[in-house]
This record gives sequence, C-alpha cells and structure tokens, in this order.
Amino acid sequence: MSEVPWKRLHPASVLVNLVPRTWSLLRSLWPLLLAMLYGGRTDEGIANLATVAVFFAGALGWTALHAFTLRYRVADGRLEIRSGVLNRQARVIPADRVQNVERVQNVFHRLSGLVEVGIETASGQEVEGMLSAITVADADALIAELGAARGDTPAPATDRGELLVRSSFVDLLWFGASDLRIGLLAFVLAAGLEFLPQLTLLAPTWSAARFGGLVGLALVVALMSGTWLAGVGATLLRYHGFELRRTGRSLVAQQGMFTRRRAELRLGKIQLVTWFEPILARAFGFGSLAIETAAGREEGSGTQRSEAVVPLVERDRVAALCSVATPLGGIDPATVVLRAPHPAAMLQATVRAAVRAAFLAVGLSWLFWPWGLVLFALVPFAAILARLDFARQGWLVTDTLVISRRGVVTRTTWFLARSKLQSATVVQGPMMRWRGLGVLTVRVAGSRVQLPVLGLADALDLQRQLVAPLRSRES
Amino acid sequence: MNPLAPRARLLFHLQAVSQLVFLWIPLTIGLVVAAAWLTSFVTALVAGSLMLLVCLLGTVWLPSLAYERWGWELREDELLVRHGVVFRSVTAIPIGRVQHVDVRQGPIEQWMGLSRVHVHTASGVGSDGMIPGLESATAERLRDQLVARSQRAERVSELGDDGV
Repeated sequence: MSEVPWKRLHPASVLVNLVPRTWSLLRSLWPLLLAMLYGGRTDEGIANLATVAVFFAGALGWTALHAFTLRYRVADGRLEIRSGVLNRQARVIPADRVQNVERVQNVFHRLSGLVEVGIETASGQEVEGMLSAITVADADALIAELGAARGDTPAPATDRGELLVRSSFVDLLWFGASDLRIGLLAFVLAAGLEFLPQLTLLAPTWSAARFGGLVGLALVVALMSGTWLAGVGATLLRYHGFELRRTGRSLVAQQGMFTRRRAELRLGKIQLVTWFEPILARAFGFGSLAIETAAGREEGSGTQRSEAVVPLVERDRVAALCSVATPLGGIDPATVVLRAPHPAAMLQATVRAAVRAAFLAVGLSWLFWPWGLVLFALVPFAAILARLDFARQGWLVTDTLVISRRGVVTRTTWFLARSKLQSATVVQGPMMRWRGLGVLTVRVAGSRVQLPVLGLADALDLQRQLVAPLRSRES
Repeated sequence: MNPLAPRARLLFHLQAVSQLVFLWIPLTIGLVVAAAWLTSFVTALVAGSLMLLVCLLGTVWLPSLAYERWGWELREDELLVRHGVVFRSVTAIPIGRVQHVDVRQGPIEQWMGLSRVHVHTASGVGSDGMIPGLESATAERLRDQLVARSQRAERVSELGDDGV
C-alpha cells in the first residue's frame, strides 16, 4: 500500500462550481421548464417551483458531497481517485494511459485562484479524472507527477514551447461569421413561432397591428440576424486569445476570455486531424483544423467533438500544421488530388437525399396543410445538393495516411494515420448490394472515418490493405 | 468462415419471439390507439394489422437468414466477423488492437449452453466485433486465443503498450 498522502479538492470548490452546475442543470431541464412555461395551467406555480427546487437541492447536495468525499493522489505511476459515501468509487488511471489533460478556469475559478483539471483516457466519452477544483499549484504538481511517471522530461518553467498558431481578433471574427449554426437558428425560430401565438392570444389587437405583413417579416430577419450575431459573439468569447504551441512531446491549446481553457494533447496519442471548410470560409481561402485524441467525444458534431480546434487556418498553412499532428508523408492537404467514389453511387446518394426530403415534406405538409405542400420543392433541391456533394467527395490511401473528403456547405477532410487504425468495416445496404457497392469505415480510438462509396471488391481489398501493414509489423 | 453453433438458429428465433412479445406487439397496440385517436378506428386497425403482419413475418423469416449470414474467422493476425441480412458488414480487427474480450450469456443463452463473444479495441464504440451463438467452450477458447495473441502482438507493436 503506497504511503503517498491523499489530497482533496479545495473547500471553496463547492461555491466555485455552484454557478456552472446550476447552468448545466437548467440546460438539462429545458424540456421540463418549457412544459411548465407553455403548459397553459396557471394554478400549478407553487408545484412547479417546488419541482425545480427539488432538482436544484439535489444538484447542490451532490456537488457538496462529491467535493468533500473526493480524494486523489499520484502513486506508483498511477492517478488514483476515490469518491462517494453510499456509492463509493475508486478509479485508477495509469499515467501512460492519459490521452490529454485539460485545465479550465472560469471567472469564479480565477477569482478564487483555483482550476478545474480534466484527465482523459481512451476508454469512453466522459472525463475519467475530473478534479474540480484544486489550486493552480496543486494542478501544476499533479501534471508534473503524471509526466514524471511516464518518464517525460519536464520542460523548463520558462519554456512555453514553439508557437504554431496565434489567432487574432479578426481571425476569430471571420471564424465566427463563417460558422453557420443552423441548429441554433432553427431552435430560435421555432421558439419564436411558439411564442407568437401566445402573444396573439394575450393581446390580439396589439399584436395584429404590430406583427402583420412587413413588420412580421422584418421581425423574422431580425431574429435570424440576432442569432447569427450571438453566435459570432459566443465564438469570440470562447476562442479569445487562442494559441497553439508545441512543447516537447505535446501540443498545448489555450483559449477563452471568461472561461480560460488549456488543453495538453500528447502528440503520440493524436488519432485524427480534420480540416473544416465552411462555404463562406472556403471562398476566402481559410478553414478550421480540429485535432482529436483517443478521448474524442461522440456527442456533438464537427468541431465540438475535438480536444483542440484551431479556429482559422489559411489554406497554405494547413500542410505545416497537419504535419505536426499526423504523418502527411509529403502530401499537401490543400492541393492533394483525391480519388473519386464509384460512379454508380451517385444514383444511390441522389435517391436517398430525395427520399429523405420527401418524407420531411410529407410530414410537414400534414402538419401545415395546405401550405406545407410548398415544401415538396425541397425534393429536387435536396437531389441537386446530393449530386454536388457526390462530385466533391474523394478519398486516398497512402503508405501512412487515410484521407476522406465530403460536404458541399461545409467541406470536411479527414486525415487519419494508418498506424492508428483499430478496426475496418465494410457495409453494404440493399441498394448498394444491387449495384455491387460498399462503404468502408475505419475506426481509430475515439473516432471513425467513413470513406466515400466504392465498388465492393475495392472496399474489401482496401480493408485488407489497411490491416496488412499492422500484420507485418506485429508478426 | 466458421459458422455459428447449430443451436444458434433456435436461439435467434427465441430472441425474435421475445422481441415480438415484449416490444413489437405492445408498440403496435400503442400506435393503433394513438392512430385511432388521430384518424379513425378502422384506419388504425388496418395499419396496425399490417404492422403486426410484417413483424410476424420478420420473426419467422429473418432469424434464419441472420444465422446463415453470421460467420467468423480467426486468422494469424486478424479477426474477421461477417453478419447482417439487410445491411451486411464485414469487420476486420487486427489482433494487436484487441484491448479486452468479453464472453457473455443472457438467460436464454445460459439455458441453451451458448455464449457470445464481444471483442473490444480502443475505438470506444462498445464492441468492435460481436459473435453470438457459440458453444460456451468455443467462446472461451476464442477469448483465450485472442487475449494471448494480442499480448504477443503488443510486445512488437510500434504504438506503445496500450494499442492507442
């Protein structure tokens, strides 16, 4: 039994975490809150408040219990974390299993001199070692101990590493402006449409005078513009002061105005590099680069899944940045010529997109009869978009790399080192079987990349090739 | 490719029947009630009957097809698993990437003396390869072989000792 003493979270961590926990609880309770707001019954106010109060009390109690029972230490090359009273948990994370370490400081952390440390392994979708919150000195000591346990040579304290990228205010403005958040826009519009009938019922004369005709249209435009501006603002806050540095055997990404994040990614654990080019950004010659380790998250989409996102990278700098994280083998991501998917797959892609749009149109037509019939115009539009997407798909497999590309509105290119492959699967749907096609999906730790549709024989042959180099090394 | 154990065909049928009884029939009844409220009782009854007929046909027909399609092969350096009726797939898992192997038995499988093998890599998706309907002794032998070979492969792997 190791004699290394246990450490605890800072006593102030309960208060420091109160606001973020409250916010995340509000976000998780939004269906309940929406139901209470639009439930239509005004005589249940106290019951509703009591329900919400119970949830808050539970969250506060859990936060306090977790903070006062959690203990941690680094001993015998492992991080040990114990917590809980009724349900006790003892977690052990070997130092060499750590994929990346993230330090987060929101406003409350900074005011109290604390930091939240998240230690991620390859095993799942959560942060396996979450210490919220400890002092900055304890955090530095913990990260140094983990590094020493792995045999890493500690960098001098004054060495901040080689600066690879620094994003200016203008860079972040471009990134935020080109990042079209369709989901958020749809949500805001839907909420607005839900709110408007309520207002009409409450004040019919007043609302009819103010929201009819052009005024109503202007309101919709204002709502959409406001959502877009809010997205730009959120991006500026989230990526303020972004820097990407290389220190020894790690990449360090720092960002954030009010909540400061510092993620340290071990170079040897990088699994996937993704190059995102939204249509607006592509027109001006830049995009975003996302770097994932084995702790990559399955939730979210696009850049939300990655441990480090470089907000804005010019096309002619992509090769230099990518090569730090993944073995390009002389390939320039911006100019590489990829192989096309099987031509017979175009029909399948077009039919699938048209059928999906038709289903959507049928459903919405039934809901908004008869005006919903207009939505059938989406069907040819979806088919055209699918053909454009197909024409831009590409793939390439080299000695060291697997590359896949797709997308029209946001063109996405994935770069995956062959040495990181975990498994390769070829799938055939009924329509693919009819045309002799197949789809190859390559999995790495924490992520997967799907190649464009190929001929079945080509897909199976590629599957054999991708596994083969591992075979020769391992035997 | 190696087929599943002959008794696995019965296992698949029994699993399909239990799904029919505990999932599809209650779901159909619920949808009929909801549809009757939204449209008319006759329409809902016809739609529900059609849905039930499809489920019954699936219960009778699909398990045998699934049994025929499932196959596995342990090669020198990789495990191949093939399965699927409507959507067919072939998965190749390099032995050196195997993190751990589970052998599991549900209640029906225990009664029939069968097991299923789940092969996990670091991909984090659950199991990368699953082989149901194996004789329990075969499943445990496959597990032991995979673990032993993955440990041998780990010693010469370039990725370090965690396969990631």
